[in-house]
Formats: sequence, structure tokens, C-alpha cells
Amino acid sequence: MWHLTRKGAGLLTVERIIIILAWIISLVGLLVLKRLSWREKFLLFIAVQFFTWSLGMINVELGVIQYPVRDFSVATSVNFSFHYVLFPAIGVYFVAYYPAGRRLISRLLYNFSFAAGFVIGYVLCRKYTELVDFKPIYPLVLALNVWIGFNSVNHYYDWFYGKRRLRKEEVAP
Amino acid sequence: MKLNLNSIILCGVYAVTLLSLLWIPRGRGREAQFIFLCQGMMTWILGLLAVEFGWIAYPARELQKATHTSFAFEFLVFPVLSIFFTLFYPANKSLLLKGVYTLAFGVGVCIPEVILETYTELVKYNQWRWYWTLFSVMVTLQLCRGIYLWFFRVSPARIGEG
Repeated sequence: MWHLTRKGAGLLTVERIIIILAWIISLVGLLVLKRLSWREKFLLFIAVQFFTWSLGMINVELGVIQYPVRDFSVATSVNFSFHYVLFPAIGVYFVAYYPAGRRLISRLLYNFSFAAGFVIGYVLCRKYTELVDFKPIYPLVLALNVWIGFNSVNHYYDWFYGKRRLRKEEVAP
Repeated sequence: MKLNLNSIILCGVYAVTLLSLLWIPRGRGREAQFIFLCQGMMTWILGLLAVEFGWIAYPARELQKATHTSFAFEFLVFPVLSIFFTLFYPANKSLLLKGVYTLAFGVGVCIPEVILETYTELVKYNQWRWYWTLFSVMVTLQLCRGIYLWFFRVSPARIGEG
């Protein structure tokens, strides 16, 4: 199942360690998150997955990114673990700590830091591992995907539970 | 993908599946969406496993590079089928009827798949057998329904009345 591009690499390559860590961090992260109920966490998790599988596949199909070392090397060209657990888990945290009642600048900074976190992670992975390789345009695509995906799920959560977190303050009559 | 029997069937499958969404009862959109997303989570990994181990192959498919699984079946057709399975489940009927209902969905996936396997390139069995499809479809449908019952906090007997 493991695809090895490096000749003579040992059993525990840095790529494998990162993928295994992605699973552990995501699952532990979801376990310890107390701000949301298990039902809310589950809904958000599968809602983010909707974006990760579709956008992940589209980006690979368009050729802006490759995952040379990945978990399911035959069945898919997308890194499965990242899109199946890691990104959805990050998305759950995005909604859980979203500063809905704060000023616009803090909401923008919050959004920006998540997008920047993704881009930095990808750039580091490209530099030091063979997990990803992408075209120069990809960081922009990634930042947009993160922005659109996470905010859509944020609004979806409000709609699903009939909450009004993200609504503007209504003027009192 | 060239315009041939495979792609025409695939387009038809997309059209029929999307049109079938109109049959979702009014006011049950949230439930339908939840079931759709939940089943997608399961077929995503199970579909990959079946292809990774070489049991089954989908030579004619939409996304050639990104995935070797069937995008249409795993992320659209089967999740939509699960919606109808769960929303119209005969929860307050006899165990026999529930069994027949589940079996009907399994057979309903199996027969078209075997026909497509024989006459098209959309799906090809290697070590895979039709009864694996039957079994896995029935199990995942019931599993998805179980998660649905947990999520919406409904006692099993009350589903299907609405």
C-alpha cells in the first residue's frame, strides 16, 4: 500500500511519520475538543470532507498538485489521510473557535491564519519531504479552497442548527 | 473520455440520480443531507480499499488521474440511494419485511452492476464477486442508518412514520 519513491528508504520514512502523526493528531484533537457536542463535531467533520474529497480530486486532476508519496498509491493520486481526517479535523476546530461576535479585523485575521497555516504546511512538506509537489499557482488555489471550504461549512453549521452566530446584529425595533 | 456507450450510461446515471433528489420528502432536507455526507465518508475509504487491493476496477471513469474508484457510484449514486433507504425504512414493520427491504436494495445495486460488468468497461471484477457487492451494500446501508438514528436521537421504532 505504501508507495516508496526513495530507494533504500527504511520502514519509517519522514513521510510515513507525518501521515501517521496526521491520524493521531486529528483523532486526539477531535477527542479533546469540548466546545462542541459529538453530534456537532461529526456533522462538521463529514461536511468538511465533502469539500476535501471534491476539491482534492479536482486539484490533482487539473495537475496543479501531485502527491508522490501517499497512502493509497494505486487507488488514488490524492493523499487520503490528509483529506480524510487531518483537514476535516482542522475544519472542525475552525468552526469551534470562530470569533463570530468579534470585529471584522479579527475575523479576517482568523481566516487568514488558517489559510496561511495550510500554505506554510504545504510549502514545508514540499521542501523537506516527497509528500507533495505543486505548481507555483497552487498556494493561491489552496488558500482560496481553505477560505471557501471552511467558511461554507461555518455557514452550513449555522443553517443546520438554526443558529444565528454569523448573522449581522439586527436593529432593535 | 470519448463519447461511447460507457460515457452515455454515465451521463444517464448522473441525470437520473440528480432527478431522484426531487423525491426527497419536503422538510426532510437536513436528514437527507446528513445521510448523504455520512455514506460518503464510508464509501470513500471502502471504495479505495477495494481498488487498492485490486479486487475491483473501474476502467472507464470520469476522473482518470485523481482516482481509480468510481466517482459517480461512491460519491453520488450510493449516498443518494442511502438517503432513500433510510428515509423510507419500514421501521415499525416486521423483521422479515425489514430484511426483505434491505435485501431489495442490495439486489437493486447488484443486478445493474453485474450487467454493467458484463457489457461495459464501467466496472470490472477481478477477485470481486457479485455477492460481495450484495453483502457490502446491505451492511453499509444499515451502518449508515445506525449513525442516522444516533445523530437525530430517534428511537428506531419512530422512523418511517413521517
